[in-house]
Amino acid sequence: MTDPNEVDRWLIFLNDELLFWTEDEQFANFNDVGEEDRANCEMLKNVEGFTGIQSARLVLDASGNKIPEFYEQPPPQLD
Amino acid sequence: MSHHISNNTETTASQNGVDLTQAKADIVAIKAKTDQITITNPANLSTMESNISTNNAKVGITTQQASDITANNSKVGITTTQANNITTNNSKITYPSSASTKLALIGITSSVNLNSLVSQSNTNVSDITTLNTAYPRNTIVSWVGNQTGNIFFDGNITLNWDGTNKQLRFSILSIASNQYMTGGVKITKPTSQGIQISNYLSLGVSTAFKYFTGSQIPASSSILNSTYNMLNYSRAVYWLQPFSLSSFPTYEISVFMGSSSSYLRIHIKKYNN
Repeated sequence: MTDPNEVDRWLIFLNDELLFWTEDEQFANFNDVGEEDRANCEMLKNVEGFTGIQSARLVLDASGNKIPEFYEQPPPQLD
Repeated sequence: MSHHISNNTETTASQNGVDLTQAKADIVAIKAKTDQITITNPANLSTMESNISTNNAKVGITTQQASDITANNSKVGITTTQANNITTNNSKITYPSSASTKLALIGITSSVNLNSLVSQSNTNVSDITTLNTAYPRNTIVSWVGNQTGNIFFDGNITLNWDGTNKQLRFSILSIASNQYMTGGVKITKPTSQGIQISNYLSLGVSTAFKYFTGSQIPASSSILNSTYNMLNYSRAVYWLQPFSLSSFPTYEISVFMGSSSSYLRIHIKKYNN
């Protein structure tokens, strides 16, 4: 957080896919996640590049560490 | 005067004749001088001499002082009326420049009765209050579907979006401990063309966010029914209504979802009385 005008954002991932995010610290937890899934959740704070309306997932980098990756949701496909 | 008659006691007749002639001339000369003197009352020459001496000893004024007196004499003074006017003006209340500046900012082209304006304003306030109770107040919110946070607060309730489960939930902030809130939700989504549920939902003030999908009477109770999670391309209409309290508002909330991770449009209608 280098810009004082920016707000904190917490991103919660379930099975490496973004489940939800929040700007309110009181919701930065796994309380809304089913108990059976909480072990598969991870939380990151202030992920650089996250704008709020992107989809995000965790991927492994060359060192084997999980890093966030953003992607746009594909448009709906016609049947 | 060297030919005084009284001084010639031993002289000849011829000498006396000469002396008398001289005396006569002297008398004529004296008379000519005394004729120059005019006096109507006795005067003491010694006193006069003393007074002259005293006056000669007095200090006079300087040339500058004489000049200053002349300059002052030429000045124009003020009249009594003018002096009175100055006194009157000094007793007047001053008008500060700040007030003058403010007055200059007022734009007005015709006479206005401020009392009438106040009366009209009070009427308008009353009318607004009447309209607020006659029609629902509308609030439109855009919110990202996978963001968890509070979206509405009015002192009576807080509405909160559960970004994990894609459901709206609420918290009652101000209500009597024996008062129930009822409500429910109706959803249209791709996997279901219409599911709905309603119940009494809470009692008294809440200490946790409650879902619209079932009874959660203990203040800290929060029970999720994931059947009512919204999905892409869905709409939900939630409602809250006090069980028997006329003074507590009623709420109707419509949530429109395109992509569950993009912007929702939320329309909150609040009804009073």
